[in-house]
Amino acid sequence: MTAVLPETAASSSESGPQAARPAAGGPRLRRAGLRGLVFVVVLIAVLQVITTLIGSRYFPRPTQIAVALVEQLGDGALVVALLGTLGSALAGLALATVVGVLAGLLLGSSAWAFAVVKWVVEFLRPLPSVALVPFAILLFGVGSTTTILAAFYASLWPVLFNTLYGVRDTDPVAVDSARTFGLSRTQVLRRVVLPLALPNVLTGVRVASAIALVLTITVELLTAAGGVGYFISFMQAAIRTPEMYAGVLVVGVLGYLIALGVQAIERRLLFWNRREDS
Amino acid sequence: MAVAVRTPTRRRPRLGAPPRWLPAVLPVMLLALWEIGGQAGGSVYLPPLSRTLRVFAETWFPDVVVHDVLPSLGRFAAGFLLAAVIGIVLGMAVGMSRTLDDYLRPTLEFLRALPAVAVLPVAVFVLGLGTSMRISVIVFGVLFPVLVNAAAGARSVRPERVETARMFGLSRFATARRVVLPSALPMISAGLRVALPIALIMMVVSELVGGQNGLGFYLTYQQQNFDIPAMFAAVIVLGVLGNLLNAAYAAVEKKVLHWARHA
Repeated sequence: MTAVLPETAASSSESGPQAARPAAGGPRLRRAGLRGLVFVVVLIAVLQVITTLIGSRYFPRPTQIAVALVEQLGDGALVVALLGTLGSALAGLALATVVGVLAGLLLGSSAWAFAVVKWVVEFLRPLPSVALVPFAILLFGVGSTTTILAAFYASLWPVLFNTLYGVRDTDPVAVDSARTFGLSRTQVLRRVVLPLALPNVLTGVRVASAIALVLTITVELLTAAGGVGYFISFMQAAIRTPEMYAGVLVVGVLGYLIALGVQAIERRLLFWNRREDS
Repeated sequence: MAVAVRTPTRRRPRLGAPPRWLPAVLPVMLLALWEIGGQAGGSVYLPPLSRTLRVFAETWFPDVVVHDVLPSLGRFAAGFLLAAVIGIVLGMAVGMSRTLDDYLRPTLEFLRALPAVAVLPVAVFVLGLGTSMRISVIVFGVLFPVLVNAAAGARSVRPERVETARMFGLSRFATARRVVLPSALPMISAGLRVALPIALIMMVVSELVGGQNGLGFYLTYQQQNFDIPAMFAAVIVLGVLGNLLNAAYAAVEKKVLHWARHA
């Protein structure tokens, strides 16, 4: 229950087995998808009418935003920004996953190691990571180092703590059996504990992926170091409103795609553990 | 010899449980290192702990607290509560109605995946650098995790409970309030717990971009002044604040949801 639960909503629209919905077959899903699409189309149409009627420069028409989006994508500016953001977020996330899983394995399997760092990590975890961004800017300057480090730092905690809880929850019988068969400590960690903790680890990575994106964009907004965050704030400063909204739209798509990607990885790695998330 | 290597966490650890005082060692060491390193190193970026504390003691009470901390907390509370109410109500509506769920789901999924900070420039553009911008950015960050969780909670209510309530003549609203809401509360609470740090992050970010007051504003202001001890003080305060809010939420949750422990 402590884990963030985005998948409870998301998985039911995909192929996840639905105990509560016996009728979850093809036609029902198709109707749901159609209705969702209808709503999006109607919403855009309504926004088009309203924005045309009020004609405010704060709220450009959806058609204007679409034109700006196509122009910026075609121009390459938005694509470059997008790739920059994606690269920083993924680099931070990858670092956080490696460090978080290793630290989580260590801290989860050793009560002593955990006791040593307990107060420090428990103080740092709830500290809003964006508060460290001004420091990072002073120390590392403006550039991808700062962006990646900020994304890394913030996304480290969910990976670390979820791994730690996963390791603690592993069945002692499985570990002891492996021991009995003569596996060394590292072998047990790698072959028994890590696979058993994998669902938790991946939950952590899923949460972390969203956070990595948030931090990446925050740093880009604050430092003008490129990326979509900078693209949006640049367009805001230039009062090119349609372009600004197009940037926000692209960030949304990026966030959605990252979430889908992590979900796909989860499903692939956890095919043996399907029931866990329904 | 394989027997000798055992994982210490298992039921009967070889080393025994770590002593109670162990967690205090590292923080004390780090703080001491901070002080010594700050005194000796002479780096601008690492002012000694004592200087940070002096800045904190001299300038924060009552000036910074009144001027920055309280407005920040006010906006945090307003944004969090507003988004919680809207998110719970909408989420329950979506969770209770299959039709509504079908129509809204893709849109909500998209909005939930949209990192709230990306909306910040838009909010600044439309609403300016005032309180309404900051609160609405917090609301945007908190709303969707709460909404999606409330919907999932309402969806997971056993249908026979709802049908029984309807059969006894409860109105749709009464059913929602008396049957669905209590069953959905653990999920709603999980959503609120996720949203709490997001609200804090959005509070800080919304102030980092500029304005007149707030903890984030204080941070950027001191960064521009190159007043590192003041920055450290603000970060420590934010860390304490984050911990206090977490603890407060855990206490409330324990009190309200004590009956759901074993559910």
